Amino acid sequence: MKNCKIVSCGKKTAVMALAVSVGAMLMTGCSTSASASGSTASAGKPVVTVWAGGSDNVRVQFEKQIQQFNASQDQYTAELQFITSGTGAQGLFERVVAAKKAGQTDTDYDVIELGGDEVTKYVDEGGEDFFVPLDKSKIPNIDTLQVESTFRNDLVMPYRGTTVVLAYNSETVENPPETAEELYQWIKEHPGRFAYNTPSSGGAGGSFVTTSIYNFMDESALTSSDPANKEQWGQGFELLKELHPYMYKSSGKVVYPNKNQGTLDLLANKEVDMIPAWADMAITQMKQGTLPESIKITQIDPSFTGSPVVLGIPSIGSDQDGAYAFLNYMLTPEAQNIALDSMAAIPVIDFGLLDQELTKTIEDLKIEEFRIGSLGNLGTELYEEWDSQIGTLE
Amino acid sequence: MRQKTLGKLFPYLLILPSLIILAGVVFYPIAASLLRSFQLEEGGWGLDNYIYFFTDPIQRRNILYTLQIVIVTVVLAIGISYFLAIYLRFSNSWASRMIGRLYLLPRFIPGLVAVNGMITVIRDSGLINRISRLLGMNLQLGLMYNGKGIVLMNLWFNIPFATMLMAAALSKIPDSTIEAARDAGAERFRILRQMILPLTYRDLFVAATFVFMSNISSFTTPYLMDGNNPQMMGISLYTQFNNGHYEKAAALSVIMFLFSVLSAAVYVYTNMKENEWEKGNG
Amino acid sequence: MERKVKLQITGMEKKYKNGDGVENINIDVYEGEFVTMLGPSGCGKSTILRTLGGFLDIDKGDILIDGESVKDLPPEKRPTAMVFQSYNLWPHMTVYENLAFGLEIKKVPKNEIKSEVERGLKLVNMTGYEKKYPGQLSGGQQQRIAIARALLLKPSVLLLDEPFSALDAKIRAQMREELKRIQEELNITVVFVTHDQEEAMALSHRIVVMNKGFIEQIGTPTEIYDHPATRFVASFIGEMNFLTKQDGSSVAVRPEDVTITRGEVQGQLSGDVRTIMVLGHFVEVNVEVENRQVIKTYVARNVADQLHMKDRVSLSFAKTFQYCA
Repeated sequence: MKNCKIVSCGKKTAVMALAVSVGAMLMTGCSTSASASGSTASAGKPVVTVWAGGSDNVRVQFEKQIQQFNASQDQYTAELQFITSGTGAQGLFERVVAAKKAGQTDTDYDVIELGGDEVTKYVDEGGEDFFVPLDKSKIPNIDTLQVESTFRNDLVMPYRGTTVVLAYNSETVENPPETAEELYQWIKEHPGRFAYNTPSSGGAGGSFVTTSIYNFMDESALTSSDPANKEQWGQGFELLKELHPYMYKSSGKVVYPNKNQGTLDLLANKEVDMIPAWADMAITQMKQGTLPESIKITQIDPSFTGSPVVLGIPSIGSDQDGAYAFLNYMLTPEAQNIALDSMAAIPVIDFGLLDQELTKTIEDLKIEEFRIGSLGNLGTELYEEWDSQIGTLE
Repeated sequence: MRQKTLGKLFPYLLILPSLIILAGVVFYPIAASLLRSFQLEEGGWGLDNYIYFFTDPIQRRNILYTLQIVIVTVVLAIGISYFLAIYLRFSNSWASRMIGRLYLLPRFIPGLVAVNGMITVIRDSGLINRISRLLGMNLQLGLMYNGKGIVLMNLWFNIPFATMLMAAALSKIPDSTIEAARDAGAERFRILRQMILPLTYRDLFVAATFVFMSNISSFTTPYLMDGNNPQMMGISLYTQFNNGHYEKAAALSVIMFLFSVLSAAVYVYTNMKENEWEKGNG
Repeated sequence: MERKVKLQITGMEKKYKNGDGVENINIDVYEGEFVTMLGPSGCGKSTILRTLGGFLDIDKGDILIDGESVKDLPPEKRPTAMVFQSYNLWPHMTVYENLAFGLEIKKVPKNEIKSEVERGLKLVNMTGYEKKYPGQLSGGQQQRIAIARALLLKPSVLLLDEPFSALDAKIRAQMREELKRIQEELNITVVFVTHDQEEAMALSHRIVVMNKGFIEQIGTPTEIYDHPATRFVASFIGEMNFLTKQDGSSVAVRPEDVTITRGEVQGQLSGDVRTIMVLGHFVEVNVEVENRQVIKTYVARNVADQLHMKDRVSLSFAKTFQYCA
């Protein structure tokens, strides 16, 4: 599930608030009229502005992809506008929705990146006409797409996936749990050695909470925003209450850290032995050495959830054709390899098309079990329920 | 004649741009928040958003918790700053000159860096813990994920600022005032109580007001250091906003704004109130 | 009659980091005596006063008051009271509170404090000002209160650090007179610091003339005036003409010791009248003598009436001082 909210996710994974926009210089490549789009084409080519946000590895990924995109064709020049999370800058969601509400047109919000769950929020605040309905005929590569966006497949296109896994310290945990049941058992046997972050502050904790509750329910509920499902949350919350006293403690009090990084820090400092974490965050930090070598990841059964990260074309952008060209590029094996390499993202196209060396790095993720959790606005209510039922327990 | 009118208008023309900017970036958002705080999520108008924050047990606890942290911060920050400033003002030792040069340093360290630095030092597996383990102890400070760590961090941010204000206030007391008191037989504590305090209490209030206002809406520190419950109002606001409760978020902003206004009122009052002894000969 | 030594400074030295300061200071002050430290600014007079009050530590020597060493006592423990140059009444306290402050510290009973304060105010002619704040008083009034405040502490030695320098000339003269009256009335021992020689002459029993951290001369005003021990004292105290001779040594003579005769007189110094200025009951006549040196003289009006600009005159000296080069 990963229902992140605008800002909260912040961290890598990304899904959050990112967005891409392709600012093209005015209408499709045509002439010269100046417009609200901020950029001017260097070689007279229309500019497609791609808007994204989040942590640094997302930026690195887009920079590489855009470089390759610009080199691979000579019709458009793509440019990146990146909003780094945690800098206090106004988030992409606020900016682009404000621009739409203010009635601006011809802006340089040509392509935006966002979390699969965020679509509904954009549409709620920005209006049904916020995104251009996707004309699939302009995205030939969509044939290779293996993953569906859970909400509004008609408006946005997934370009990478990301999932939550179990990260643990192999020095202290020799046999990590293989199933959810074993995990709950392990937690009870090792008081204070497990932590998950508050679900509303990051999707890793969110996925733990969501699966703990939705494992008791019909699998189809996991991709539904039907409020009627609330009726069945009770059993899962009982489980979370039961686990509560065994969570990580600071000065004798159970603590749920904020943010995905909060629990990763606890794991890195060996204050806990096991946490739910975003696969891409964990893998990237292992590569960088910020997580010690003893940290390993594994997936349990039923698995934690993940979600697609999608691209959309805001109707207030100025170069739709360029935007389509960029979306199409993002589904090429080259673009997918870059995402896989730079941020351990789960590819959304047939794995057979990809660099096999790279796909090995995400073997532990057990991609065949990639389980999409997408509750839409119901996710927010679930987390609020957690805040009042679990978060307030002493 | 025309020229005269123009001359009269000229000063206003000069401040017009800043007024317009002020209206756009300050007054308008405040008014918009205020308006929105009375809108109900399900439509219509009412005070429900405000009532929610003062009746919902979680929210009420958040408000009380915030006030508790901020008041502890104010008392400690002002107390420590005051004595630090007195030390800097009246001691001429090597240590005092050293501190006098360095005490503003924390102001130049970016907030996020400072918070993360503090966390690596004080967390239960942090620097202090590691040093204590070298010495055969296992000292766990328990400062993370609760109010203690936040207060500690707030002190880091506020002591330099408050010390600066207090040092300025103390520098206005001439040496001879203190010397005359000593000459009359007063020892240190009496000088503090009967000379320094009465001559600087107003600046104490001013500094306290500033510390209060800058902490009531703090976000970064509690976000990185606090536990999940209770939450400081800044975090609570963030959660409301993220969960799409824009009207409640607006109401909470207004409540936070009112707390600031309240402390600003203390500031204005202490500044306006003229002591009998300051009225001069008139 | 054997007079009692109230304050004794022996072999005292106080040096600042920059090398300034005072050294080899030896002064005895007798009970009931008014002693003034006189000298140009930077001569060290205030330094000495501050060491007496306890606001500066001394490096060498000793300070005795009533025979007891006080050099290691902090100001609050010393039997001295100081009146500062700036009006340093405590601005947040009324006149009454200012005066009562020290008495309260001494735990004097309330009703006694009240009568003491009244007495103090009466002494400085400020009765009725109890409820005023310092900011509501003039500079002269503030300084009177400051003096009263110091006196109420019943100090063994009263220290005054240029107390009148911030006042205008008329008030200063008036305050000077009042201080003299109070000192005589109470027979209190006073050490007074000033750079104003007229003030020093008017007030003091004895004057300590200081220069560059050393004592140049200690003596009564008459002694200092009539027998300046050094060239510095001669030039600093009163008016003095210096005539440089061929061998480089100089002869000093006060203007009032010069007699003017019209015309040239054998064996006397002769010169031309350069300026004549009537200063009231006497006249200042400046005479240019050899080597363009000018001698200032004070002569009676009837003598001056017969003199004119550029007249040739002869000068005779009633009393002269000799100083080496």
